[in-house]
Amino acid sequence: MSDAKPADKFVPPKEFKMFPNDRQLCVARFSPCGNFLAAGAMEGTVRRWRVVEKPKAAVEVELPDEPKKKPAAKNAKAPPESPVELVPQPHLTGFNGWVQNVAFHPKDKVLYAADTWGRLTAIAYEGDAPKPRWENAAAHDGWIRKLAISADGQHLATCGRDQFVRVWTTAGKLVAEHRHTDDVFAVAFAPEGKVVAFGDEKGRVKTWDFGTKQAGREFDASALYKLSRLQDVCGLRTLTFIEGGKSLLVGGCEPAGGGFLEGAPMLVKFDTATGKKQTEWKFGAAKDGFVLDVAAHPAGYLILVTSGQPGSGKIMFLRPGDKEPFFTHTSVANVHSVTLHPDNRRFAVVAMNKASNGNGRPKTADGSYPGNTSPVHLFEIPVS
Amino acid sequence: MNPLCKPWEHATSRRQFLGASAGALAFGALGGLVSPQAAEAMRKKEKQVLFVWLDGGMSQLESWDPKPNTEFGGPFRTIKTTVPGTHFSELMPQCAKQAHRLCVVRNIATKDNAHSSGVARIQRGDPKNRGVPYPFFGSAIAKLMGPTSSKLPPYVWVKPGSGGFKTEDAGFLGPKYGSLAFGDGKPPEDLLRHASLTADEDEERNELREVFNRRYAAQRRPAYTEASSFVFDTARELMKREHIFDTSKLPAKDLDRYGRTELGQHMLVARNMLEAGVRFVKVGSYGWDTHGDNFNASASLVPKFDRAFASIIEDLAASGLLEHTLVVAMSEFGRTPRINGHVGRDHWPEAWSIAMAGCGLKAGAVVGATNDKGTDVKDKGHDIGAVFHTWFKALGIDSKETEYDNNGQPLPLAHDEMEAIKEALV
Repeated sequence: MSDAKPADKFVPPKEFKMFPNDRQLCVARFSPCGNFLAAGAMEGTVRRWRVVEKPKAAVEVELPDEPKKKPAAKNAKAPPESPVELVPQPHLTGFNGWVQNVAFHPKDKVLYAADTWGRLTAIAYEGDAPKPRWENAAAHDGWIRKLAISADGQHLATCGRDQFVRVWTTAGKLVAEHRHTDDVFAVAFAPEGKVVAFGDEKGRVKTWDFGTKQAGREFDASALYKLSRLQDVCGLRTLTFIEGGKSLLVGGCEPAGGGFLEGAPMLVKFDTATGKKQTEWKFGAAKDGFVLDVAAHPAGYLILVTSGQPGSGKIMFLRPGDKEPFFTHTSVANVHSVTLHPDNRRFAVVAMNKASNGNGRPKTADGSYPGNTSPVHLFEIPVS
Repeated sequence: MNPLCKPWEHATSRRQFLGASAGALAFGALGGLVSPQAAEAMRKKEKQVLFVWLDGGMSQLESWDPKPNTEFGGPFRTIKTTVPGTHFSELMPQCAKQAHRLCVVRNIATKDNAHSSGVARIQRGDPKNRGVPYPFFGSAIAKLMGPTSSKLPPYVWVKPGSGGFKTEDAGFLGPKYGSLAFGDGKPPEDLLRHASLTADEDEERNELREVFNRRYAAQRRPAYTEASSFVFDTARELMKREHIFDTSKLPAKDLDRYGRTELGQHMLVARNMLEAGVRFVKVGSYGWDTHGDNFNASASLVPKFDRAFASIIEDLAASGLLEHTLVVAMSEFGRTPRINGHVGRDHWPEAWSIAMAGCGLKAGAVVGATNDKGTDVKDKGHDIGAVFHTWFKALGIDSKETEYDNNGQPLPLAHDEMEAIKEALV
């Protein structure tokens, strides 16, 4: 992220289109080439879309797999055409549980995906039926909580419920591992690629030089942890280096209690060199939940997404030097992931259908039991 | 103090305890059953109950009935158990090792999806409406079986938070059959002999009390005076068993096995109480209502239950107590297969699981099943009335023949249109 200041006059982002899905998604990422979007699903697959620009002159572009549109009713106001379409590609399979993490290699056409049963896979993501370049079915013992890739494309970092942080070459060879004392929820590479930061369920964040295997600085993010009755409530979800690695952002939730899991979304900024806390943000009320994902825009601001009680979700735009977001979008529910397109003019979020909760069996006309789904919302960031 | 609670719920002194228990005995013990002879026969059976209540609703999908790699299956793996072909969630490795001692019913289908009404309906057995509130299972057993020969209180509840005498459990049986709750697993205030009093002094006081008792008894009906004496003796039995509440002196290995958590320590207190001869011990745990972040919550909660529950099953089996102790672990409902936007699961009475073990039950049994996605029971499900019949039967109580006598009104012990779950019974 550059030090450039965002424009004073920010023009709010505009939603191009919502792309429905038939399943719930955990995370989505654009490929560095900008031509693909990949998402990890709660059913052991990776969903893929090709990002297709519509010719400006075209009124109707028929796309594969797109249902035929019904003729518009007379006098009906036609919705604005999206200049971009997400064209579904065949799913990537071979995973178990949830695929909670996907990451693209910054140069090669390779996608990395990690599931909750411990599998780490590298796949050439183009084509109809791509095969894994390599896979490790036991990269961790169970749930891989986070997957990160170094900016130079040399290494992957993973962390898991098995309390391990592991660093791999992008060819799949284990480079180093660190056994922590608790469930590790997040890991991120520092920009120079030699150090990772990881954070655990108690809100303890540490840096670790995986080359020398030396522990580094510790950061106290224990505000993102609470013992609520019997439950260790972990609020920590994201780690993000900004400002060239000078600062480390820890994102998540300040838990008020377990069970329902109420708590306010929280972001804490630390000085990487000293470990000193610089800024602490709380966004909204206890129902608003977690900061679940962060995207850093080169214009100097962050795009944060939150998800809390069903229906509660925000997309927030925050300058790291400000006390509060300069713009907040609230028309989507339970936003779980955000990814910035490499053109920096678009971003996509993974959200949730409305009315996703309810006790007992929902009353449907046909007696079916529908699951919830995660639509992908595509936004444009207008030029200010 | 919570302004919504009554003061007496927060502390039970020895005086209060004695008073309540004296009432229970004076009014009690043999009345209220059609056949006093049958009641006496039940009372002589030294069967006991451990009832583990996970308040809020444990997810069946993250515990006893996992559905891995399905739409609603969640992130976790399954593990093999000691029963071939039966798998539990990976969050229950210790219970998996005790599966051959358990009886898991996977096709529970109840009616109420709200806590406010569901907790009571489930613990009362949800019988047909007779215009009176039915007793909780613990109160029913206190009535039907009374104290064991240990003379300890028949129905105790080890729970987080406040203690006291919980009269509301007893329903139409009357407050005397309520539960004696040990808040945070601690004994009532003033129960133990005061530190300034030596054992000899205490004995002298007791001799004086007996003199007064004899004088008092000479002027009254024996039923009342015997009850009073019995209650005092019960209290003295508790006083002698101070160790019941003190888990700090237990071997570190035990503390580790059960888990150094609230639930682990309370389960150890429960083990001590069962070993001491308490008829019905309920262990409560709160915070299972995982509407948000269910999977991380389960990853934290379920293993703590797993360690504590598996350890007490193992210990009861080793000591032989399991042969005559009915063990139950359950909530007021399960949790929805559907995963909501807060990555939580909501209330689900339609297809969930109860785990049991011990006397009268088939060990290593898995009764019933849900469909591939866990959204329905296969064939017919079992409502809580059938579960109550099963428990009574396991304890040797014929719930079809025995009736309560509510001031002349005969009332069935459990839902009279339901039957015990035969597949679960020996």
